[in-house]
Amino acid sequence: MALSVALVIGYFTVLGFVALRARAAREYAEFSLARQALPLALIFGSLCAAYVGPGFSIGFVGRGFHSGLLFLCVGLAYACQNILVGIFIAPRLRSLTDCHTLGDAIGQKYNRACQVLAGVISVGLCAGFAAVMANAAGVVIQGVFHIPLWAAVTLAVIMAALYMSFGGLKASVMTDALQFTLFSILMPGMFLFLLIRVLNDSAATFTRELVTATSAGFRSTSSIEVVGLIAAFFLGETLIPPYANRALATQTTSASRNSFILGGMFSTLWFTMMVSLGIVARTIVPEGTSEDRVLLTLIKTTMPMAGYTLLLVALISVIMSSLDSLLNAGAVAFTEDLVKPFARISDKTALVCGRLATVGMAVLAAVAAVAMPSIIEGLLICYTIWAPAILPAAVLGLWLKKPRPWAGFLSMVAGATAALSFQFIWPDVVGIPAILLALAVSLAAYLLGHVLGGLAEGR
Amino acid sequence: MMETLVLIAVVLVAALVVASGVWVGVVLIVTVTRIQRPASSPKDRTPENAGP
Repeated sequence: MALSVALVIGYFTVLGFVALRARAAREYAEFSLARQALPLALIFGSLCAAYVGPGFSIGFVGRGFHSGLLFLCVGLAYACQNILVGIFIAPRLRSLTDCHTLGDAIGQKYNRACQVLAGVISVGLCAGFAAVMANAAGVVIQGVFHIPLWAAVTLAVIMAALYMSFGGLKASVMTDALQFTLFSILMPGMFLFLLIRVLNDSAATFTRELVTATSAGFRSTSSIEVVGLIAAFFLGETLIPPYANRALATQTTSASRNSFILGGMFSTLWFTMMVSLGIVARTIVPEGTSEDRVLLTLIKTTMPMAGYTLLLVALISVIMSSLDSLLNAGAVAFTEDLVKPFARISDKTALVCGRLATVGMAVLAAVAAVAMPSIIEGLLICYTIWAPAILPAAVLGLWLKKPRPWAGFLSMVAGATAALSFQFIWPDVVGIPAILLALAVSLAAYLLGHVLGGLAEGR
Repeated sequence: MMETLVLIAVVLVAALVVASGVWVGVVLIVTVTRIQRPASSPKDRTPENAGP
């Protein structure tokens, strides 16, 4: 117990030191984009740390445990998405001048109303994603300190909000890079330890479990469900605010492209390792263990005390890095897309606004955290809303020569409304995943808006 | 044979993940140790402190 507490306190101290070295942001451009001076390695590490949250670690181990390589196939869709964003979207986004957020990019391509709408969606989704992360962080910290969940959630959120509100994006990227280093060394270490020490005739046992779990996974999941999951992972996190901010914060357009391509390649490695951990867990963890508890149970049953604590620190890193990125991205979206379009504010006021918004986002995340379902389910709800609400407008806006404001606005309104309706009101209306239906509605609305906009321009 | 290949593949994957972490860690250490106090603003650069 004392060792666990000491290691967790040590972790937070190092985190605080790195955040302090990043210096408190003194200008809004430093808070929102770190002056676009961050090197490729840090952006890459930070991008990976931002997306490797509880869903892509705890969630993937749980899915690997129950369905073997099925979820690796789903994860590959995510890797492809990152690589495609790197090749086709990130450089275009980075080449925009005076652009701080995805909403800003949408505002530049369409108009101010579209920027505000994109801002509302960005802030709402960042709060939703942050609530999922805060809940997961709370569960892990609760395991270390044996305190109530609400207190553990509050601790995680306060820590993230503290260094985010002072350091802004630079602190986020640097602390994320530290956390990336920690978990990408500790988690494979644990995996190799399990392979060598726990599985006796490892190669044969591992392969047998892999085949059994994968067959069971494909048997228990219908093809339409697989299509829905692939769509959700392919589209759901595309260009969410923390990733868009990182694409904008790189030194050059090529660094922006390369960080996403490398991020996509890393995700393949990471998913393979997490799913493999789930497969290894099949010989150790009881069969009925709930999805979100597989990794924690595996660590607890197999690791010596010091290793167990170190891995809890790695898990906290995984979660905190996603949480802080989301708080920062939500705060910047709030300032840039919801405050600046309505008020001419000085750089100093924008900085104060960003800091206060970080605290506001943290409070929202902490309150919503207690109402979250399982990690993967919480993430899938966020994906279902984000992709139809923003992607058609953002991607087509960046690619079309003269995108029309009507198209962007209608697509965002229709996409968000359809996603909420198909997710919560009529979840099983035609048996097609909500994300695909809502995306179709959003694209149709974009086309309609494009035609209507053309007619209005012709008058 | 097949089992061994699968095992080698997953070990290789774990090694690549570690290598990524080491790369980012090294760049982070270099960045953190290189960060110095901010350069003085132009108005601070008077003829007295401008240097030779």
